[in-house]
Amino acid sequence: MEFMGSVQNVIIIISRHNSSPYLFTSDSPLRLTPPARFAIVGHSNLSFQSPSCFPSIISVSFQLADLLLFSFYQNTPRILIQQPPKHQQAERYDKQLSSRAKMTSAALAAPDAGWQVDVPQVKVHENLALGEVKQPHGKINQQQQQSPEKISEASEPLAIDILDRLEKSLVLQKDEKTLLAAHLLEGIDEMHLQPGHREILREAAILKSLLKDNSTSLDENNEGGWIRQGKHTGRHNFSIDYKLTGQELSCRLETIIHSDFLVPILSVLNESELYAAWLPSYNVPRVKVLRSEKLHQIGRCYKL
Amino acid sequence: MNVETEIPWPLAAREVILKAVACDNIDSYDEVENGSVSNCLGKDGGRIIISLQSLDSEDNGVQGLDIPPAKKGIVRVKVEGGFTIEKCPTDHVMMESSMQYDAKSSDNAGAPTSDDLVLVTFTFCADPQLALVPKSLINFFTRTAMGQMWNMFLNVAEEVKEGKRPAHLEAIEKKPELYEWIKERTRVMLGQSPSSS
Repeated sequence: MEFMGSVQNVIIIISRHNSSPYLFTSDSPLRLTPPARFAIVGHSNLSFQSPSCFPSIISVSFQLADLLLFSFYQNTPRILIQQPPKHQQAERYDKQLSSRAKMTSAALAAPDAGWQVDVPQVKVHENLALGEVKQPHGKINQQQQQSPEKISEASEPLAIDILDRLEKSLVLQKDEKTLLAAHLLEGIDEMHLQPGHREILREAAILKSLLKDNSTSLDENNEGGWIRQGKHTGRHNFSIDYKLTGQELSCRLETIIHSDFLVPILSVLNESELYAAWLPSYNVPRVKVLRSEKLHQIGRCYKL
Repeated sequence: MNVETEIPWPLAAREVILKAVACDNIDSYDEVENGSVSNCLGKDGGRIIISLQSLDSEDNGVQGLDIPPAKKGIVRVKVEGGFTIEKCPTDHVMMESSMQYDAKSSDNAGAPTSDDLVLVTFTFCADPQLALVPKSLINFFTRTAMGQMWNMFLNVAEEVKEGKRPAHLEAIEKKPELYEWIKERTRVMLGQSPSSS
């Protein structure tokens, strides 16, 4: 069963970073969540097509709707762009929404109240009255436009800076610059972080720990407590150190190579399906690789 | 990556599911310390880092992963570690021997310069999931297996470089977005190309 409806004064808040958009009616209290970055406010003929129980919005179309783009900082909406009602623009937003709009938990409120969506909450945030963005006849009066700006005036420079850093960190992460992305996120309150940002910080912690392990001195100070197992010189120069901590065995190998040798080395490492073709097998004790396969690849440099 | 190994009886076969993530930490950036901004190569900068983390079914759901439980009779081991790749420090203890070998090698004759040398460091920490790790197994692994595997790894890479490993060469040709990127970023890391990507 599909729902086709038309309601007034609906606010859709769309998260740009892989989380679900949220839908609110004008008559329900507006509860904002930190992941929300943009809101589109339409006043009339805003129609939805959705399966029953509304697990997702299949399409959203705007006709004769005024559009507002909001940015949110500390639950305070700031008007970024006010779009006049133009059919072409409405279509453009429609396409964007169709491709990314998904809702997780939705319920239909009283018929006159339009739509209401249960928003998954990680933390409890203050409720904002919808009156701050309400537009009875599709026109936004001056007071309503200024109100959110006034609310966020004091924190505006910080908000812009934070939004910029949040966005840049995701771009850097896609370009494999995880530590630089994490550096940008330093000092930002956790309430502003989305799953993508938390993943950056989690990966960065792992990378920093690895850097620490790989950078500890092997000289006479021997900060890491490594035991030298051997040193190989010749065609390939490398050293092997190890240590046993409880039941955990750690090994460290260092080798110096020419830069043009790096791609061949990384190709041998990366092509896991070919491991069995070259990894040694032993009869005494009997140790051999039986199987090696790539399960999943995300992007250029993330592999499972 | 899922790697399954056979090991001596009475121990069960071991399996590891590894997540590998690379990080380009080459570019310099502004670091604010003690109130002043300084442009630096980052506290941890100037490197390519590849982290390896073992995963198990408790990691299901992370980034949409679906990891089945280990098959009966196979023990899933925990491993973490990875590679760091950086311009070789001029005071590294192996630098001299590497330069001497380069000077003798016909391949690199005429260009044995420290500016081209890269230090690759690989560490890993493994919990073999044994109540007691037999000394013989530790000795075998550290004295024999690690050195042989690493040497073989480098030999195979040498063969790839010499064009003797068609399967690897084909993989390199098929993935220019990865391998050309590595080449470009390595040049940046060595200061042979401007820092941009």
